[in-house]
Amino acid sequence: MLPPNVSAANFNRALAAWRTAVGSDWVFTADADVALYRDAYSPYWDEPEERVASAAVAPSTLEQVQAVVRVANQYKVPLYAISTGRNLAYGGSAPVYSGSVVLDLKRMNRVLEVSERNAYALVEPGVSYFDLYEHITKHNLDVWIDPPDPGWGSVIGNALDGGGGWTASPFRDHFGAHCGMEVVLASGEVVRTGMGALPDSKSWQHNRWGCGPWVDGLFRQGNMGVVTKMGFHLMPRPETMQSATVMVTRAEDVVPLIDTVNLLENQHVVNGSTQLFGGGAQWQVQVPIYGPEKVVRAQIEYCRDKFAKIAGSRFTEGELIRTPLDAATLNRVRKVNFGVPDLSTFAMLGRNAQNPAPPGGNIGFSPIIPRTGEAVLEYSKFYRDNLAAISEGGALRFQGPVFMTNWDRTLVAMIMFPIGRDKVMNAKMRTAFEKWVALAAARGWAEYRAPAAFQDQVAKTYSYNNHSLTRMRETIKDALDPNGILSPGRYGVWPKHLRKV
Amino acid sequence: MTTRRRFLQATAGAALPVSMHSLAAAAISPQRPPQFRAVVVGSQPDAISFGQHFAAGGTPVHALAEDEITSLWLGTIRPLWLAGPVAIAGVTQPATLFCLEQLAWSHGLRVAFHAEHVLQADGSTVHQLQRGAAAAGVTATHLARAGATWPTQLAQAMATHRRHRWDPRFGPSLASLEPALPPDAQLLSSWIIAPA
Repeated sequence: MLPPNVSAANFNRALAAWRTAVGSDWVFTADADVALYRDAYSPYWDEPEERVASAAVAPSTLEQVQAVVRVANQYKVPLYAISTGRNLAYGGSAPVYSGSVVLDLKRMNRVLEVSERNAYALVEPGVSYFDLYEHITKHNLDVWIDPPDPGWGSVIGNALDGGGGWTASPFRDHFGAHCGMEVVLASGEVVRTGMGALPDSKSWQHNRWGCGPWVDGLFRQGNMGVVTKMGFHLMPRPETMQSATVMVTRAEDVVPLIDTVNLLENQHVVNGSTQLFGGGAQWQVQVPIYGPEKVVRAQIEYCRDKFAKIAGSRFTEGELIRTPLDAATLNRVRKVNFGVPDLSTFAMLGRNAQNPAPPGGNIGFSPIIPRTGEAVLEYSKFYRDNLAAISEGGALRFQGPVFMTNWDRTLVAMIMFPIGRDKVMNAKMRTAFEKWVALAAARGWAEYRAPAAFQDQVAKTYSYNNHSLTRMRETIKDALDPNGILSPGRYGVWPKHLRKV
Repeated sequence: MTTRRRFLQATAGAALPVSMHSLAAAAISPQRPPQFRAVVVGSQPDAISFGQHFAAGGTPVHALAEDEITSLWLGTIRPLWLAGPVAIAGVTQPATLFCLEQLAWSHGLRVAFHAEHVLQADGSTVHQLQRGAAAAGVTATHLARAGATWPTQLAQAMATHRRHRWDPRFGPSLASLEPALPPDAQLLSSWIIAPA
């Protein structure tokens, strides 16, 4: 397979130049090797529209990344940068623009620094949560990471795609917790952001803003450069964690329930990842708190008082868990809530009594709605009202809505779509997904993150003032990457020559 | 003889004691130390039978509780593969194979054998061999004829699995996406992950 609009002669020249730059062992062109970059959960699996790579190249150093990008620019070969390629449900390691060459950064797997004293890490893109956890454990450092679910992916990749975790705020907003980047631009030039722009900076991971316009956001869900280093603030190990569960039994009480959660989070009394469950008349929320034991106990009491104002609510105090956890305790708690990466999510998504016919794959529709009880009730009704028609009378088995309050001030109302080997069913799921995107956008709800196959559609829903945000992004893209070689189409940002009218 | 009770006790979170002799290791990877491992879902009788065959030959067998692979990965497979690419085999839920396959690629290993076993509500099992059948010398008919002893037959076949020089390097297996199953059926995957 050739990259689009690239001649065989030029592609071969590019491959030869990459072999010189990174070594022939690290340029992959054989079908079986390139196939490893397919999206395991592609909603177009084995269909002509499935997005696939033409080749892959895996540099191990900053200088090699620069060389690869310069060659791509010379021959106008589109690249698609991945970290460890585990962005499952959002495109995996497959390019958005079919035929691109995957720029695989998993060999850049060095933990460059972990400061216990100032609680930060500086890593390369190939460092997984498992790797960073192992480094911290091995060196007996008293800091926690914030792993997502599952924890086998890249720390940088998850942050850049907008991922999140399960410990305390602000660490579980992974992009929000970053501090400083090193980026290779399409020209091959290297930029360091924030305080890193000072030669021999001593404070790169101490302040994220630096001076002047902040540009890091261009690289979140972006295609303006290749991030080769990134700093992250870590959480000093908290002494304890205690959670409480609050239940209400009248539908309308979800309004004061969420208002109270919001107040407690915005006051920084509740700092853990709250979780909202329920529907109909019964709703419950979990409010975890991390910190010193004396403080946590006082915070729990404060929470009890606040929730008691909701008549008929039931407040149940959970176990106070001291850290570090012993093995027995770790085995009975949800590991990611305690900074320990794991893969149990795959067992949960696998075949079990609650889910007797799992399809294997899944993709998520993840619109953000206001963080109010009224919005939860409205979205629940919206889902019920449209479910029968979109699900073809229940034949398409979505799972949702799941109301996720993982991030401060944010509420994601997720619907999970199964993806399996049945192409007819997958096509119906795609159609259903598109309908939910359109219907939600018409109500003012849009996604924070989307599978590669739907990124264009989602980007188009952000259409205020004749798509002025998209047009601004395109202007920046054209300036930074005039040949449009870096991840064309990622999150709906296309270079000029591929832009659809 | 390894009994089911002994097998489960010995494999509850840990491998059976390592014997110097490993039938499967010798067959699959004759130049490598006998570090071959088997992985089975510890609550499934067919998987347990499969594991018992390997355990009887001295192969370390890991029984997974509820298909939870994190501790297996961090505690055993990852250190093993960091030292070098070593073959492993298993009868597990598809999700376990999917996870191990994804992790294997970064360590120079691929799925060399993959079969699916649909355990039907009437007690029968339908076998579908996805890859590597010729190298293992096994067919779906062969396994069907074995009836309830298919796990043992399969383990014997895997123990003699021989990868040929002309074998293709495989791409991804079908582990990520599952087939539609009849009502109340269950799906097991059997597999070998071996150096590419």
